[in-house]
Amino acid sequence: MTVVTAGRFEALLARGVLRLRLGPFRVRIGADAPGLAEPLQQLYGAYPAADELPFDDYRIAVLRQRGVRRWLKPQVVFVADGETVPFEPFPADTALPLLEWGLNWCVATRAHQYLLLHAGVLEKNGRALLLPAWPGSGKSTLSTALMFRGWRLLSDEFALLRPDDGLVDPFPRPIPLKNASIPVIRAFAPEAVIGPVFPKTRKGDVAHVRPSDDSVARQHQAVRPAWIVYPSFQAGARVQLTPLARERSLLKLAGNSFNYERSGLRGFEAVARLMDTTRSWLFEYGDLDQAVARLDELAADEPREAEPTLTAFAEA
Amino acid sequence: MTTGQGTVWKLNPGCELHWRHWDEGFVLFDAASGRTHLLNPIGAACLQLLALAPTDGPTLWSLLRAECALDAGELPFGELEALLADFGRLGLVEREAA
Repeated sequence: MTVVTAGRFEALLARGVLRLRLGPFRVRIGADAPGLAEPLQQLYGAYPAADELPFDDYRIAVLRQRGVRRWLKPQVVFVADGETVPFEPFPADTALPLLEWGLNWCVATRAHQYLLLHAGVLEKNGRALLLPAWPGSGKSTLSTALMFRGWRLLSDEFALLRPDDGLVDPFPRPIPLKNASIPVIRAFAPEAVIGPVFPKTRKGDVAHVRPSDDSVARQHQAVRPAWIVYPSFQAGARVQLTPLARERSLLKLAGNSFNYERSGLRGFEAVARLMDTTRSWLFEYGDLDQAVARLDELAADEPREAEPTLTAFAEA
Repeated sequence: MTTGQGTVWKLNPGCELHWRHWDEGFVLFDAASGRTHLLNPIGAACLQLLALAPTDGPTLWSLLRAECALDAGELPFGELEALLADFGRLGLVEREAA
């Protein structure tokens, strides 16, 4: 595995040929926005370069808008496969959040070889924990905390569920923390590498946490899900893990998926198979240490029904 | 919509139903419409009885109470009428043409 050397990020971005292997995807990145190379190198420096094949799954760029406005109030736009996508332009100094959200948009709208669940995914002892949730539930904060307590991050945003065999492919990316979560994680994990804070974006203050080296190094190892936990952060709440009937869990997952409806019977069968092999809980918490401890207990206590299945797709 | 003596109900022949059950209730996926439904045992039994054969309302009421071990007070006929009306709106059942 080769990585892009630190000094080359800026030149490769400028030429539109920064190629990285991000989970199962080969992503080609370009940018003429200022100040992007350094945080990208900080957050993506450990990812394998994807120079081995002449094609890309996603070709994306963050480019400065042209015209007079660029001198008065500079903005950047997100471009995928040569076309500007339907996002409003962002201020030029928020190129990194735009790049991250744009790549998420590409996956959510195009990666239909998977059933795409909006969920954090972490692995312990060869089994995956899914944290399906909508924004505001504390999913990213909890995923980050688990990553710094020995869980491997597969994703904080997408469960890439393979319909044919029920495994989840990793797609570890920098985790976007928002607002109060930024100082919370700084205190919880002082060793965390956190990129620059982008104040007052559309989602408030945003800063990205670099995934653990282990998460990136093992991004080719798919995992079979074992636990589905729906997190809900409530300030001051004590930790409570409540079993959820799988019929209800299936409906929640269907509503939480990016592409369940368009997947038809294949999507239903994929979620039903997930219910066959997992258990579901509602999870209320108000303290990260207690939450991590409770999920560690769950991972330790839950009887293993079958040996975990780890498979590798072609490693870069 | 009422389900009187002369009304015979049947599954919508356009439906393509797939059932799953784990802990409580049933999940029903209609591949024809792409819609997913969560049913309690009474609703599930009602559809499964209609899957066996088109049935008039009173007969269905009797079969359903026997299937679910419910007396008339626990499952009034009006509740079955409401249930069938809901299923009709969802495109799962329809009245058989006279």
